[in-house]
Amino acid sequence: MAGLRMTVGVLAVLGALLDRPDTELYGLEIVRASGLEPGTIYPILQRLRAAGWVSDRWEDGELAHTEGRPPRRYYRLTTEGRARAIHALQHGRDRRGLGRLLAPPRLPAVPSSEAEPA
Amino acid sequence: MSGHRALRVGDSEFLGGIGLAEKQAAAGCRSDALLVPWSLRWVRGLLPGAEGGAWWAEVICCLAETRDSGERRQYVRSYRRSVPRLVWTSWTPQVRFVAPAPVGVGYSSVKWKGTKVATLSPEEKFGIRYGTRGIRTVDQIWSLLIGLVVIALGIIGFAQTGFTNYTEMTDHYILGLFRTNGFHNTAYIVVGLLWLLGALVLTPAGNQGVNIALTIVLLLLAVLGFLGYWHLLSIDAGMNGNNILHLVGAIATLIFLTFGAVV
Repeated sequence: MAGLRMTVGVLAVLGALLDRPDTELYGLEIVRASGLEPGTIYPILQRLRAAGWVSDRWEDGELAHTEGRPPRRYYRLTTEGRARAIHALQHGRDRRGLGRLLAPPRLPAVPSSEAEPA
Repeated sequence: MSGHRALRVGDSEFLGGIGLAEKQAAAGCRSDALLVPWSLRWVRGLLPGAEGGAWWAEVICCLAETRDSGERRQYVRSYRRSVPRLVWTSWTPQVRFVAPAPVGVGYSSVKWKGTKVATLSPEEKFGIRYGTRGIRTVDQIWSLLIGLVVIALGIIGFAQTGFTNYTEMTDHYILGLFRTNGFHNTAYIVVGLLWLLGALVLTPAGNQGVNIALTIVLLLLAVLGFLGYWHLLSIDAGMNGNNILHLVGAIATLIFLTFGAVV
């Protein structure tokens, strides 16, 4: 599959999602975890979702209603996306200028079968 | 979640409409929609139907949960700034449906009308300068100089005319040569700002676009001015300073935009 350039913004979003790989994050949480603005992360999540790196779901409307707020859209890394994100961040950390943004990454262990994405 | 698969071009789940849960989410947000300023409401209409609904619901959700008004304003500005990129991403399946490559791997060969889309910079996509400063081409120098001169003419003109008889024929002249009124002075300043935009904000290609547009405008002004159709701008028919200025300006701009797009 053809690829796109891995930008600092994409890496920051992936880093935020990888920080809590087993938790679903909604938009505002990703904004705060990545340090990016919501207008920046939305197109990034859109691309990652279309590529299958990230899955999403809308929160149950009833639950949100009882808490008096709009439903949230939750995102999390897919299994494939997690392996690819770890790979991308490990490479991104070595790039000049990205160290400040990405270090120290708290990267979870990669399952051996997924360490090298296809 | 684990059963998620990448959606593809033509996938009805993605392009045909948002899912039920998303529709419910959007519907549930109606009471919070008032949080979204008018400056963002039209954006939804620019996106494909499914995307527009999902984006709208997410914007409302984000703003509704942001309690601090200053932070909310910052987020609104962020959404506003992201509109060109959002529209681009939403309408360009070649960009949307490819996976990001690992860092260090070269660009892809994704093409759109023969151009490698993935390698296009924001400058090339939108003609707006991005992360660079300074004049680049000869015709941008021309745009800068003529822009400053024209703005100066507008300011001198307002010193002469004030704001009375805004669109009437007056006896006020700039430098004793160019008859003017308030409307004419406003036009000077607006056109000057457009030229400065081309010189200082846009890329050379964007500046050429501005120069093409202004050449056409100046030619129309000159031709119709000679025929006496511009009393609104306090311009007489026949040979006079204004009509000659417009004609010379059009020819000079045409020359610069044709031969001056070099560094």
